[in-house]
Amino acid sequence: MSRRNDLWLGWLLLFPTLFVLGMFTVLPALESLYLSLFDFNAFMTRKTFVGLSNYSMLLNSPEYWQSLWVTFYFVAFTAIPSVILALFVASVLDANPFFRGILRTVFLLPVAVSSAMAAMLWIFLYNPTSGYLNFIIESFGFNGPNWLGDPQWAIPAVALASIWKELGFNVIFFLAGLASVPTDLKEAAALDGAGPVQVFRHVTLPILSPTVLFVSVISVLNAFQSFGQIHILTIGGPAGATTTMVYNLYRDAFQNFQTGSASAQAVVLFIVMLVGTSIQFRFARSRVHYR
Amino acid sequence: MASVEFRNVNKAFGTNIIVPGLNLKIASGEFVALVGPSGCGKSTCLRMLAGLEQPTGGRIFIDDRDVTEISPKNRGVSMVFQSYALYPHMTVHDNLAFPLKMAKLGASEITERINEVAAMLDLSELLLRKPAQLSGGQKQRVAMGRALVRKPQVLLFDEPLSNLDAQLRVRVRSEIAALHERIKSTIVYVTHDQVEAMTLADRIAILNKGSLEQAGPPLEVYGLPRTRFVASFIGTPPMNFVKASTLHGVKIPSGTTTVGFRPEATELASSGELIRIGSGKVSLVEPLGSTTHIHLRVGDDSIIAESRGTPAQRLGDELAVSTQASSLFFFDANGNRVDAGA
Repeated sequence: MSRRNDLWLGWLLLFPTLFVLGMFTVLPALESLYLSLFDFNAFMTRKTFVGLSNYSMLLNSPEYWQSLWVTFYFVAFTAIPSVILALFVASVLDANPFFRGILRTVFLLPVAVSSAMAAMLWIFLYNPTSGYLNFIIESFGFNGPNWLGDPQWAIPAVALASIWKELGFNVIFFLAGLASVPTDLKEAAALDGAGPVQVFRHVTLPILSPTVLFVSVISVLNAFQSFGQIHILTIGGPAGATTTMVYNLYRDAFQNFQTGSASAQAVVLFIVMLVGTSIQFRFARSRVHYR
Repeated sequence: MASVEFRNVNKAFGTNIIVPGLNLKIASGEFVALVGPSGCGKSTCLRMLAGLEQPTGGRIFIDDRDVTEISPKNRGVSMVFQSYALYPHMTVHDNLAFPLKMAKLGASEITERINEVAAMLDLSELLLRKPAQLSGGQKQRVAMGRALVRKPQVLLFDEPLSNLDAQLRVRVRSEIAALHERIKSTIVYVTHDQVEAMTLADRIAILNKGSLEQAGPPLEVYGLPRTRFVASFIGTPPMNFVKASTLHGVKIPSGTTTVGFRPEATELASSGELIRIGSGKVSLVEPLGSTTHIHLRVGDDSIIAESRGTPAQRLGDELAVSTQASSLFFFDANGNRVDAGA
């Protein structure tokens, strides 16, 4: 086959992927960028070019800044504990092959449950008067908080529900990563005088570092984009305490029909996530070991 | 330096018995090679000595101290793994320093010991490299260095040369021999390669299905194999075996069922002074330069003759096969050697 034919075949094979990516990712992203420069609503009743004024309105909006801080708060409360907890659970399961099979399924079950069902379950658990969580707290003689109704507790409560939902997904990645750590290395470290914690710290964790980075990046991105749990558990409340950037965007796009402003928010969210991920990669550069 | 003793050590994984009962004493400063075919339990024995496997029964002693229940780090042993097991995220320096840091030694002593080992194994130029930047032979030396830097009482090697090419294997083999000469440490060396065992060890212990067949100096084991298994395992090419009933003109001890003779003692001619084994067609000729291995089919038996240089025999030639009476080994039905005078 000639070089020219090879080239055509290459493009032909790439076409389905390029088409899907182009139609459903690149074009909508460019469309958002374009629409963010207009005062535009979803019913097409007006479309006026306004330049960067959608962005300046966002930057001058205290509500938007609050949603930004709420988002960071939510990401910190969700992604960090989720990664640490998943690593801990995976390490315990990895060390106990007998329970690994069944517990892996148990931890993975919430991932398979739909967000709506999971949120309903947590609504029952968080109910301040009849919820099981407060029942346990009160059995110790304390008063349980109004989990979803108290602005102070709403983010941790939604974060806990999100962690529970996503934990199994992260555990699976860590289990796969742990399975690829050569037994020889752990045995060599044990012979070199390292105890189990030192083996984990000095051998397992550095070798697992690419998986830790991957899971961290995915968890942060998922937390930034979290919507289902917030929508069902708190509807962004109380008093905007759980109105994240995505939830604010949803309200402007689908309740207030401010498509131009919502598009600008989508672009800002994209930039924030891009910066966040870049910071993670920069931080990880000298700490992640690729074999 | 320390002595080692396996006292009736056995190991089973579920119902699968790997080592039925090993009794072996290794003197202080001795270099002992555990040899045997794949799956014979030699690595399991080494891992039990290291503390990486717990014996199902029996006791293990290092310098008369029962270490059976003691954790690997407190046994005073170091191990060179088949895969080298170098920490890929650490430099050579950090690999060497790791066991010393775990032992909480001071920075000056760590530096001193690393420099000493690096000089001994010619690693000084490699200290800042990571394992991925090293050749197979260099990795092997770093693995040895990491094992030596702790100044262990017993040094364990688990098939350390099996990942090296033939040329490098010879070189590293001589480095290990020189190392033992220098440090005089007790070494237990597992290999399936009898050449390594013969050339390096003071004593070789041959294992078969987890049982010790024979332990002794290499030439003694070669010259006086206690069992047919040892006779077939030690020596390259392996010893030839024929049924005792096919031999005539030689006194065969009672109870003998099989007679063995080494390929280098096999003559492809017949004369009155030699014991005639039979005659057969040449099925394969393997020229190796200084010697040639000639494979023949004599009756139901396969015979290998080792000739010097490049002899004239060709595939399909019909040749007489003979040997000296003094080169014969006699074995009974259980595979045990029978004395020629019996």
